[in-house]
Amino acid sequence: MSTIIGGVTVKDPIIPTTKKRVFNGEYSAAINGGLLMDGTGSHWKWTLDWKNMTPAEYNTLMAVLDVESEQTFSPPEESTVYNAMVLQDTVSVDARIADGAQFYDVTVDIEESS
Amino acid sequence: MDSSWYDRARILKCKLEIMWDGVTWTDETSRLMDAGGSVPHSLIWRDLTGAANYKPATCSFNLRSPSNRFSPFNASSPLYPYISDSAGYGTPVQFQVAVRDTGGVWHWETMFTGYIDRLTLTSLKYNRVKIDAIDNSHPFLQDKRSTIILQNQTPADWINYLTSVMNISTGDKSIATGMNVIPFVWMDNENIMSEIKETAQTEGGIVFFDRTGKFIFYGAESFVTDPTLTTSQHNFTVSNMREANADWDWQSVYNGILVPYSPRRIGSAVEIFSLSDSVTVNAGDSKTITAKHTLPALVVSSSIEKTIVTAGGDDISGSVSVAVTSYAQYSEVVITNNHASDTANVKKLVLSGVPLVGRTSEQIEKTVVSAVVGDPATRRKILPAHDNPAIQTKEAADFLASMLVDRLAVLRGEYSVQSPCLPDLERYTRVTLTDSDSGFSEDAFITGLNWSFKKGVFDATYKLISAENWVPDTGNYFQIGVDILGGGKVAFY
Repeated sequence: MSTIIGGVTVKDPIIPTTKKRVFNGEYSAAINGGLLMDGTGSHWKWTLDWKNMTPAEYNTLMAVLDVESEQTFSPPEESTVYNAMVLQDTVSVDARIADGAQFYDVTVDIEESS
Repeated sequence: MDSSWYDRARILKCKLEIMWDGVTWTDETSRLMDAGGSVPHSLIWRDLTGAANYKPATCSFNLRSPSNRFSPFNASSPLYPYISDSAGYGTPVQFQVAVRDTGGVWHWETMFTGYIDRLTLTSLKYNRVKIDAIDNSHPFLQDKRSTIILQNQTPADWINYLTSVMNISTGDKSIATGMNVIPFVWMDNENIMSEIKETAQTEGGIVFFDRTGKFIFYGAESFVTDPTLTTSQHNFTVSNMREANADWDWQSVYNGILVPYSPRRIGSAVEIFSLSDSVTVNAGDSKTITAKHTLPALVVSSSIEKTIVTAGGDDISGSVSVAVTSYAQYSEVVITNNHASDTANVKKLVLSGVPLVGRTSEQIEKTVVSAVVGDPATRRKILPAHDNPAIQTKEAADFLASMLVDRLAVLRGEYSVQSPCLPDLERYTRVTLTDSDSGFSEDAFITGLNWSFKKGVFDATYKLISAENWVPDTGNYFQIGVDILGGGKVAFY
């Protein structure tokens, strides 16, 4: 399986990726300590890490990470296609030169949006 | 919102719809950040001592305004024709909430129905706006009307009449019969919602527009006949409340009440208007004057005493028509000069009619021995009700005073409950408050609430007042056609 963002196949991040459940709502305690829950539902959030990307791989990835609106996303370990958004304030890039070549490390959070 | 659908964990969604064009609902949910509303805290007897102004339910919506969608300055917004200048004022709005049951089925409930009252740009930086809305009373809050005098109206008759003036259809209102007959009712350039509220107050009733936009009038008898008021609709327990507070306010307990009333009777025909200064009407022209009656008139005579002359003093009344449209306290008089050339000088214009007389206010005092305040023979703590012109008979004042003094003389717990919001809990819905730890359990009425839908949480703070002994002999009142005399049943006040 491949990593596809916005219909574009990008280099696979480091596998396994970290996938967390995010709940849009609140758990609170009733007077007797029992749990009450209100929420509009939960969805997935991935933290993806790429290491040692070439400039071409990096450019392909950044083109889809720069999209601020909802797009499709297929994580590397599964075939499900999610609607998701790139959380722009989580994008982190380390650029370095090794043996005369340019390499990039990228970290980003992607969250299921609908 | 049936609690069996969700247990104590609710998955919710909401829908904000605005009828920008007055025809089709537009779904604005995707731009909604949060919503919140308020139903003002209202206690029947406290209203009796304050202004009769109707207090509507209100709601606010905070929205993102992408591409300045909600900006009245943005001519390229698709909403521009509906929100520029004054166009957005009074636009219908509704807010619904759905809960998902354990089978995955969504159950929708309307939480608010009303009209947009205000649009505020709350952040230019982040393109945020706030929409404030008022319940379905919105078109009538500043609507002042005048009517003729109607006789022998029950509260239901008069409220039905007024709500028909407001174009509220039969299906959009639920009106109790009420217990009294009001001998004479009318409006004189008065606010229609205040008039309705005063009518309800003649018997300790309440009026409001509910969350679905329906007009509700609960009369005195509703507290013993309407299942919403007689049967608990929800049990607040320690396992479904987040917090609860109780207040026992000794200050609000009385051992007496004073209810004024204004008897009126039909007087003999008299002059009710006389023109003070002459009026000139040019040839072919017409003029309207407002003739303020000296007394409210049940009937205005169609026979008008008048003197209309030319500048030279010749009588031209035959060329001048006078049309009168009468209300209780004034008449609109349209004078039309049909003469080809002469100006008409109206020197005298007298209207006569059958007036209502007897404005002097009388009052009924009812006292009882209160466990809190004591015996009125030794300590008098009397609540004076304000003058309500719709209370016109001793019997009506006696009825209201007797009923309210029973409620006032008891120390009545007032409670504040924080819990998941349940849309079907409206004003004066009967609920139960139970604390299994202490063994406390009491029925109470909802007198107000504040609610919010924010970040997936649909929460409310309910104001409650104890319903204990609200109507002391519930279940034991004599019913015509059901009970027999001497069967032990008692009269309802």
